[in-house]
Amino acid sequence: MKLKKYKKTVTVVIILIVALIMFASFFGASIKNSQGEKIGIIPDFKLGMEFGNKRVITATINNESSTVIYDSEGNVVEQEEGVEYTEEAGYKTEEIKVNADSVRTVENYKKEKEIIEERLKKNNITEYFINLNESTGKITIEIPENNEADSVQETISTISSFMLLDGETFETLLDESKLKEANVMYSQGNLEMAVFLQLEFNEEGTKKLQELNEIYVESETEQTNENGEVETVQTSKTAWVILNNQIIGQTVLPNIVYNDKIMLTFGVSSDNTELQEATKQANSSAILLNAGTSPIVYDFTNETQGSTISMEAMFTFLVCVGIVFIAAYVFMIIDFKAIGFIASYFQIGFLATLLLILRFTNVSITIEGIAGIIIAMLLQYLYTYIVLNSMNKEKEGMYKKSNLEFFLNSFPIYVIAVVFTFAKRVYISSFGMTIFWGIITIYVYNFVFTKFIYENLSRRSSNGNS
Amino acid sequence: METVKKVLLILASLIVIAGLIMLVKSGLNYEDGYSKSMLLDTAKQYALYIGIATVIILVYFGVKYAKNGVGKVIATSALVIIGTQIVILSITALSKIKVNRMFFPIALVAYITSLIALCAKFEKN
Repeated sequence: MKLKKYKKTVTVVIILIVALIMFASFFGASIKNSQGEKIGIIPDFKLGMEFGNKRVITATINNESSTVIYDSEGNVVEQEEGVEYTEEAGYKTEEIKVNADSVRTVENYKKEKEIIEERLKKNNITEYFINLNESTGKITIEIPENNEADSVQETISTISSFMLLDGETFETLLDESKLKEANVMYSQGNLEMAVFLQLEFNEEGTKKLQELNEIYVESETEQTNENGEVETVQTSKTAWVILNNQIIGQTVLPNIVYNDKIMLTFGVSSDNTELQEATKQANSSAILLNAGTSPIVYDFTNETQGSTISMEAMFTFLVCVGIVFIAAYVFMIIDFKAIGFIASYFQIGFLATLLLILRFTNVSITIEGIAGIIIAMLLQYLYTYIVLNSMNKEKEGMYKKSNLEFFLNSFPIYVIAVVFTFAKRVYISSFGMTIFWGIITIYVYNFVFTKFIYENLSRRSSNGNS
Repeated sequence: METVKKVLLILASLIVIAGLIMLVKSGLNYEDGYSKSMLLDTAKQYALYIGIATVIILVYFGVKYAKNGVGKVIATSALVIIGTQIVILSITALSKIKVNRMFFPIALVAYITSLIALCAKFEKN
């Protein structure tokens, strides 16, 4: 008698706990803080880009051109107002496009797309879509409109370049075409740490750098002054350093060349915040250089657009899925009667539990993630069906056998969940993560809540039959 | 039951043939803002993970259901998995449904459903 009462109590408690979970999951839960304000204790869903605003960055090929005038000897002439530069006068006018026709090839368009993707990947940006129009070279990049959108946009649109220019003639001495690799390096001094960007060049570039390192130096020369005395004067031949279209400074090369590599200082400090900022900037520059330089000059524009999927469309879709599941539950109730009704209640409890877990584990919910949740619900339905079918067999270990049968029928799904979880792109990993948590929830949820209920229902129905 | 199965198989074959002809002739109908290159790019992103998962699953099927003949099990599984995707593609081409980002989640659900069906069939046998 006592045992019967205990079982009834436990059954009621289980049903109430599941009801509480459903309430918290579908309606939220909040507490009042010291000011009497309501604060939600359950984190919100982390929704994918398609459910919120997105920034659309468009890269179009620069079509500008400049006019260059040559005289009869082929020298460039500086244009003056009021002067007519005609062919009869011996002048030749040439329109020089920023992007010559020879660079406007599909291969170069694809190269620019790869450079943008490489920059996004190296900056650990996993949520984006990129589209190339192969006929016009236009590239469209979609990113979430959030706090990081500005910095992502800068990453995409910054022109990557490295140049050493002669300090007087501005002749290009060395550029990024000879660059092999850029890395961030650190040097720990007695009191401070320094952050460097190390530029390593290929064989040709290294040889050139060695030559330049002998020329662009400080030197001492002897000169005779006004009084006729010979004095030693220090002279220096300097070079301009240009990095990613920004002038870093003018210096003699031994100041920045160590072991045939160029070391550019980004920060020297003992303050962690300053060092982190210096490291971030150096990393950013390294990523830009390592991703490569496009032969085409692009213009970048951006705009913010609303969500790809309207709330109405999403609601309609979820209602359709809901109707399918309700039909499945009705079928279960018809097949298993009262037990089927209880099982349907626990199906909804499973969905509530899974949604709570996804909120607490901060899993990104994209369209693929929603597909993963639907598959988890299907698996839970399959599990319940296997258990209910086995319920009539009053064999020892009925539950274990049902678990094994379910495991064997759904093992391939576990493989997919684990493999997809390792994907870097958010929309693929979202699918894997939702199924992964769905599978874990199936086993834990059923062990904690439904095992007791189904086992006792099974025993009661078999006792009733005997 | 056998007749129903045969009829369904013939119907599926006709859909696949007609769908593939339509695909080659006029391609898929893309929604505004979505293009063939986006579809192919996304497919390339999925290819590695689907490939790894499918190989592991086929090896699992071959080992687990070796009694039915390893070659037969793997061939049947590969045929069902690929066949399901071809049917989805054919239906999309025939019906001229606008292809957008929803295409891949639908294909994934079909892929997983085909795996569950295969498991159930092999377990039954």
